[in-house]
Amino acid sequence: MESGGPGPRGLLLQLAVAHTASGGPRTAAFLSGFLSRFLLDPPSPELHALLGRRVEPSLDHDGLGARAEAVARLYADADPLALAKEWTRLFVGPRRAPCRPWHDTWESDGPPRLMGPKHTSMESFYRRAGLEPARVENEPADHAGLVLALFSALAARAAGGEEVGDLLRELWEAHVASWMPRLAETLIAEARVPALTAVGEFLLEAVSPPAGRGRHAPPEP
Amino acid sequence: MTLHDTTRRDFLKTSGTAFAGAAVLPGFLDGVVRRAAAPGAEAAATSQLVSACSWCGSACGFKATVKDGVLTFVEGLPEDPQGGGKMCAKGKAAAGYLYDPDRLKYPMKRTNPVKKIGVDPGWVKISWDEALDTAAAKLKETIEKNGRDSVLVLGLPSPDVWARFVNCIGTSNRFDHWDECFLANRVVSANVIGGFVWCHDFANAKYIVTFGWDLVGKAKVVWARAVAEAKKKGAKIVSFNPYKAAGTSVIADEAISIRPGSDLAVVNAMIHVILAEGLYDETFVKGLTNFEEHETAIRAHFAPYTPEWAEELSDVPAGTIRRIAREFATQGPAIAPIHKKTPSANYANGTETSFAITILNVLAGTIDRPGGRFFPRTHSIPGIDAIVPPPKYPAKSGVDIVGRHAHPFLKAVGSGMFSCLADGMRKNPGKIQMGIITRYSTMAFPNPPEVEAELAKIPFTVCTDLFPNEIIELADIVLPQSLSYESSDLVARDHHAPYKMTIVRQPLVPPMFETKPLGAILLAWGLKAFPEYWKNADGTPINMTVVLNEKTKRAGLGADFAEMKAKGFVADVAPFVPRTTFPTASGKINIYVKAFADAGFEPLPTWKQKRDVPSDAYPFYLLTIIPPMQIRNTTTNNRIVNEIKGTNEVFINVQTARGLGIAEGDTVKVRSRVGEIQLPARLTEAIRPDCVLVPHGFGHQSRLMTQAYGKGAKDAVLVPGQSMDDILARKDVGGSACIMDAVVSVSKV
Repeated sequence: MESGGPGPRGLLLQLAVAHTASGGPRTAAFLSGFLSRFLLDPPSPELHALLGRRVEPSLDHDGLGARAEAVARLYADADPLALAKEWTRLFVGPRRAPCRPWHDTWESDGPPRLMGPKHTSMESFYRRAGLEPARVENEPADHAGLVLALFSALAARAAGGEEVGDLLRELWEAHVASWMPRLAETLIAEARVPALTAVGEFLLEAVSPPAGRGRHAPPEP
Repeated sequence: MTLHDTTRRDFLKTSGTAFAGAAVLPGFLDGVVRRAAAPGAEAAATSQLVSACSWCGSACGFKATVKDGVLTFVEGLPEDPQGGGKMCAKGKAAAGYLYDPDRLKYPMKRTNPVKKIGVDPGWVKISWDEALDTAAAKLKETIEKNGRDSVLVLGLPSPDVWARFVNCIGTSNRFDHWDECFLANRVVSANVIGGFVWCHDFANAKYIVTFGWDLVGKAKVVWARAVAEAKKKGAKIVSFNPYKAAGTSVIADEAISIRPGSDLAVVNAMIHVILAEGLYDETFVKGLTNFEEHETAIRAHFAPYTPEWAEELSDVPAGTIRRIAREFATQGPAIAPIHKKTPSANYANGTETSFAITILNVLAGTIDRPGGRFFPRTHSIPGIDAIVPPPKYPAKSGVDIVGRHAHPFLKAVGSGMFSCLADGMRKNPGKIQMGIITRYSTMAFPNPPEVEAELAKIPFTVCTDLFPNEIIELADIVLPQSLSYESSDLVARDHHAPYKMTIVRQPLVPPMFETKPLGAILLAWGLKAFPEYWKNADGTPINMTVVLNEKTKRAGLGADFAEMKAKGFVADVAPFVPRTTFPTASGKINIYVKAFADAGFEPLPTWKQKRDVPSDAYPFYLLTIIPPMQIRNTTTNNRIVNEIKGTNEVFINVQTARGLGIAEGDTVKVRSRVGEIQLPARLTEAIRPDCVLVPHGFGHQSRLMTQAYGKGAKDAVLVPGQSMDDILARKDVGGSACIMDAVVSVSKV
């Protein structure tokens, strides 16, 4: 893939709460917002345009921005129909979608269900942030795209100097690190087009806990 | 596409509107996240809302608990006389439908031109605009190029907004499942008592005789609890059913294991006894029916149908028939209910059976009387056409592919005939160029494989549905429909309506994902395909909220729908005043139906054998039932009811099984002249030795329904379809689908 070599894992939280002096929160806001749109929206020219925007050098921590651009390029260069079909198969179904994007459907002991405790928990995170999902679709709040969107909004606040580190850490622990690596790994395993495999790899890199440092303990810079 | 060269401002926007005072926000979040309407607010308080269940006609009222925007619990509404505060398992499992991850969520289009169940359609999620633009363009093009009858519609004749849409199309090729359900009863009732009615006043009956209709086991709460109440009050219940474990047989005072397809013989023999012994309600029969006008013909007709004659056919002792006939006529109020997909009403002689049972009720003098079948007293809620009168609809040809036009009574009803659809499509190759299908699975048809083969040939199909059943895999465009828990409606009571009652159906939660209520889908589609029919007189689009407000007002239920929502339930309690005339041409009940005779059918219920009888090749009668926790085949994917009963089995008499070398749990093959299935054997003493029973609703082959897929087997595979020629040849005035007529062989695998 063109998204660059593997980088350190769990970057989103590290950038958002630890690398504040070097513009980490802005990069985290960019990356999580970028990934949220992959998960929320079927491929379209509008999405390609949005995702393809150049990353400012100051946001390019560890080459992440360049890799984001490479992922976006792969996405844009893919056969649109094949990409749309595969995106629908992976995230929507109605055949059993391998990458159901709702946290609750991954946690249930019995048959999967929607609008369970993970949705309720995400609703609570949104409320605490004074925000709400604004999608045309009335998605459960535990949709991976909405989780990352909230993370992005909070990281943006952190970039503006607001103290939201605790909320970011809680969100990370409850809805990102605890689930999204599994979602990303499944996406990598299931995707049949390189662009979506690349999204999965990039997602995995962004959301996995830092290797060897414990899942929820990002290093200090 | 190349990457854009943009500045930081393009992807990191300062959000002065949604995030005043906050820092930069990536442009990625535009339209994804916004500032909360009430920042810092706590979760919404728990609320309780009144609404009506939609999974069966009982439409039981319930109170829904909604916590933080999530439906968490439903419980019966005690003040609703229909449900009486009770709910069945499928009604209580509301959250299982609403929060099913398999439900249809977004409009989609097919990308794989190969149409076959089991072949991936290659779905792509699309916008509503694209879906409806495509569907509308295709509909207009199809009508223009191939005529209105080239559009096949599989859907019920209601609700009103759906009827308006179908009328805009102007096709005569609309079909539904009524022939498998209550069509025969409908034709009979319309011609005998003047109208089809659901209301049965079991609670005030003293004597209840059922022929195959499992009032208790079917779990339609409105009737199940009324029968239970009657029993508590001392009513006698007699259940004729070859399956003694049927709920009604279990609670009955007498459970009689009748030979399948012979109910008509028993009922005619009961009529024979009542007439011969003068036990009928003379005041009612002579005053309110055409009995006297046709007395000679009626007596002559029933004279040969002696209990001894019936015993030979039914295995019910003549003495028992005679005694029950006498008790029925003298220990009333007595009622013999007639329903639909019951073992008695859906044989080839099902129409005659419904006819005979209706006459039995007439002779007991309980039509529209306490303790009998009665006409509903309902609020008159106007349809959309009364509120926004449409331009004149296009004229229909009146000629359809199954040949309903050749049958005067089926043509008049204009519904049903799933049992003939495959035959009709085979006989009219290439006729159907577009399909519009709403909320039907191919499991709703006899012999699904032959129907699926025909439907797959339709060049373009639009499906609107709640769940991804089998037919969805044949669609070109899928339109996801909201559930009733996300929709608004007024539900006038018609299953138990001694006085006027209407209950609200209101959104408990907003429509999830991108689903839309059916009315909104049809309005949007209609505005694109037939705009002149979906606009007000001033040219503005019809507003469904305004229509609903107007319905509420005109029905006298409140100033607007908001008021009705606040009330929840409106009952105009009034004394029950029995009818003295009936809505027939003469105002009298027709025991002898001259209209049938004039059209070449039998004017009185005449014995005929069921279509298929056991033979050496197929020695067993096939019985089917719908388990109480399921509604046909539509609820099987609900994880809650699936946990209660997620698969089926074949019930075999213990002695029969022993003779075939079959033990409990063995996999057995059940084979009919059209198909075969395999299921585990469940041995029971409760079924006749010459019968096997397969519960309906299982064996989904749609991989889209992850809870139901691959569990159990479809009874319908064993059931032969039929043609209109078959119906006409047997002079079936009600067009029964014969879905209980199959005979089968059984062997250990």
